[in-house]
Amino acid sequence: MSKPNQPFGMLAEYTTAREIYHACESVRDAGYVRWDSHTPFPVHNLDKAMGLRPSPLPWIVFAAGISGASLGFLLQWWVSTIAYPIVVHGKPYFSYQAFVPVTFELGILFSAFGAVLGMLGLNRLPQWYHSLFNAPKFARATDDRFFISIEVSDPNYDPEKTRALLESTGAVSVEEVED
Amino acid sequence: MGSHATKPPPSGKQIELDKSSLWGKLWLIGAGMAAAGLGGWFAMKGHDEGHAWSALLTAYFFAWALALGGLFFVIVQHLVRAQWSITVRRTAEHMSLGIPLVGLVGLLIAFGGSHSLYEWTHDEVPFETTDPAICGEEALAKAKAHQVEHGHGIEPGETVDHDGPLYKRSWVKGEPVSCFKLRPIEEDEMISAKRAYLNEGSFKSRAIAFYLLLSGLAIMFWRWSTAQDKLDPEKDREKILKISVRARYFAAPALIIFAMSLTFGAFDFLMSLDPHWFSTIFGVYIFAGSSLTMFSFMALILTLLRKSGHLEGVVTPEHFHDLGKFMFGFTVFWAYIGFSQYFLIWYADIPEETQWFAYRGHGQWLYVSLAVVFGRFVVPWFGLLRRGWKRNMNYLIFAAVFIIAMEYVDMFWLVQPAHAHHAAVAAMINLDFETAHAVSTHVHVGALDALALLGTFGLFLSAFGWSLANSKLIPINDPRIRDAINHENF
Repeated sequence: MSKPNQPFGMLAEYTTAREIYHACESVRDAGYVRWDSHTPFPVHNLDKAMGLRPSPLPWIVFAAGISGASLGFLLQWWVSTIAYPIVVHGKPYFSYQAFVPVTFELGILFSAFGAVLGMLGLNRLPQWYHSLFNAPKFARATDDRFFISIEVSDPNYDPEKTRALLESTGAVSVEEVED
Repeated sequence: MGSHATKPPPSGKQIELDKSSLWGKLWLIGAGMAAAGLGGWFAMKGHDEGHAWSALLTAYFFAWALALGGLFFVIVQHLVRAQWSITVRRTAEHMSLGIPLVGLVGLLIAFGGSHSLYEWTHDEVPFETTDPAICGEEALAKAKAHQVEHGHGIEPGETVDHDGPLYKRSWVKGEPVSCFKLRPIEEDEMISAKRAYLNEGSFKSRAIAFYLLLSGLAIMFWRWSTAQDKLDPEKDREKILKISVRARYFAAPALIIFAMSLTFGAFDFLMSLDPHWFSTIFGVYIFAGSSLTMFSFMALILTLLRKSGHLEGVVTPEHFHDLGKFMFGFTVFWAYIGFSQYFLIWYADIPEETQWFAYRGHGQWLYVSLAVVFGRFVVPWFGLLRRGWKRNMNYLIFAAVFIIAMEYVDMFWLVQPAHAHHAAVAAMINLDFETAHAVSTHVHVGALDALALLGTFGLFLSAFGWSLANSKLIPINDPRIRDAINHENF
């Protein structure tokens, strides 16, 4: 699957949320861009400590929702005025009032699709393999440990300097992970 | 939870007002507005009693929405033991204190204005008929001439989309012209069936009961919360906890009393304006608008307080974000309820139900209806979508003022077309078709509307301002106030 002995990046382990919060601030201020943090539960404001920009997901959801609503409305208009016009309840063919519920529901449905699929896409999920799991201790990221990973592909990455930076932030262990 | 240090306990300007500032004098300004507005209204009301009482009812439900919304917020936050809202709850408590004062206008309407407003208090009520024996040939000929003149004339058997002497109504398609006459109220099947509920004695008793119950609840929760302020957080810890637990305990029955009073109050005062019409969702509609307006008013007051240097670090963008989310959420909720009400009536197409919308879609009233649809739903929906907007104080002020103004338009839309419709029908009975046409197609806004709004909103503002000046800005001794100050959204 991947060539052996190629490094993926540096993994640092922390024991508390407070430590990783400040560690993220240090990594952010050192100018790294291709890195991530892994915590067993959501840590308030960690996005700010990491310097993350707002996610583009809301725009995807908005676009999907508007498309869904428009599509739902167009479908009903086409069906009831062109494809199969039939008088229902003595009302005009184009009874937009009756179209509202389906328009609304399709707007919601497509928004939900946009949110879920957009989230998966932005997170590049599903992924069948991730190098970080080559480090056995990384399993504790879903239990009681906090991790920061900095990837080799980061322009600022330097095995010595990156290790020194992570060690200076109070990591209990720092190791290089194979790709 | 948060990995950073918690903030120190708030003090000084963060939680207290300077009594000589404009905020401290707000109650005086409100009292001045009330005196000028209601004084002017009383002086002018003789010119047009029907319009005067309609204007007062509109203004009353506008201010009532703010005060009731405040009470709803207080009760619900106690009931669900909410944490984020403790710093903003005091603002809702100020608002809820408007109930005892604004409610007096409601009692004034119940005891002074019911004959001007409510058809069901009369001995004779109008009805519509196509029977030439009842109408008389002359009346029918005049009605027909009028229909032809205004472009909605029809011949028997003709299939056109519009008809009727006043409004478009598909259900009398092809029928000849009709006329309006008066008949004893006992002969009106619909009103007779509602007599057991809809009579002056029980209407007035209910108005008093709602006033006492809601005022009692508002004062009760307000007193408990402000009583905590005066206790010592260390020495009286037991007492403080006891008050919080008591408020939570009584919040459940209070919510039931609130919901019942609001619903039946809305039925009595607003829905019975057209006694033939009924909508079981009507109370929820009033509630949705009231809550929406309350969240907007809270956001407005809190942003203005922040801008004048108060509540720094106590009410944060996190709280504004939450209030903004509520404004957005209740905008959708209002639209959901409003559309549900319209949709079922549109689908079923039963005359006594569709009439309510028919005269709201007639002439200039159609523009008011569209203003309600766009101003209460479409514009605020798009305007409150973005996260960043809801966290921006300057933007939130603008959105809040807009939504609060739309509550008045909504109340106007509920009350005034009914008045116009009654005036038009009264003119039709006298065969005065020109007046009937004028009042049923023209929206009339005058000094009476402005004075009633000034006076009633002034009453609310004076109660709100008095509470604001005489208590702390946040419930400083609430056992969980520190958690609320450090509240964060994800």
